[in-house]
Amino acid sequence: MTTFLIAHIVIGLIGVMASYAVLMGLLKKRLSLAFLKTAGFAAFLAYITSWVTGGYYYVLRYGPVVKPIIKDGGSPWAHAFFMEAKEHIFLFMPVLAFVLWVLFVAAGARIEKDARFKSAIIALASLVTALGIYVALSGVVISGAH
Amino acid sequence: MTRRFLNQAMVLWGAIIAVLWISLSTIFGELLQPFKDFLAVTFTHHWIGKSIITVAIVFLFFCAAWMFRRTDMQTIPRGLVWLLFWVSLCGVIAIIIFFALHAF
Repeated sequence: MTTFLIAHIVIGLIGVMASYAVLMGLLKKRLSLAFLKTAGFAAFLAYITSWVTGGYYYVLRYGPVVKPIIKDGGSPWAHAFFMEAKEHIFLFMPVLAFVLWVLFVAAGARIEKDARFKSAIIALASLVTALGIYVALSGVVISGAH
Repeated sequence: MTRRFLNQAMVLWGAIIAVLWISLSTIFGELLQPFKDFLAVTFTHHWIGKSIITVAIVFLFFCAAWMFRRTDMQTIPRGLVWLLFWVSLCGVIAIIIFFALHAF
């Protein structure tokens, strides 16, 4: 079961790094569409894999075993706030990463030419990266409380 | 043969509805226990239910985007990307405030 937790953390972090790479790629003056497509797909794939492995661990191990220990311990807020928010905010990330990747594939040329359209894409990529960092840090707090 | 392009606006609408679903089902799932129980009974766990329905929404809209491909390279309304951004940001903030009020 620990394997699933480790896979969830490592692959999730790879997803956050890929999202950050997408954001940095968008901020460059000269866009590399090939890089954005690859990094965007890597982020999407990592979040999907992290979703499945994390979900397996969450339902079969965290809920029945870890959650009661945290709730009865000295930091019950680690579950009540950080875990509850994290498990739902995570669901946004694969959806937004998918949209970014589709836009890179289908509307890449427009991102290069239309600065205002590019600004909207940058805002979306920033949000995915920020959510990834928030979710990762929440995981650290929850692990610390266990 | 005429080239046909994916209907990108439909993909964006799918994501907007999925994000709304995640936000509303999370908050109302906590406020309305029968709704949370319904998800848990139907999908074995409320979180799995929310996840499966999220995937289903995105998948259905992607299929629709494929079926309703266009022969012209459409200009995606920039507003749709901003709408997705703001709906997502508001959803995240609502979830954080909701669980903060519950926990502390």
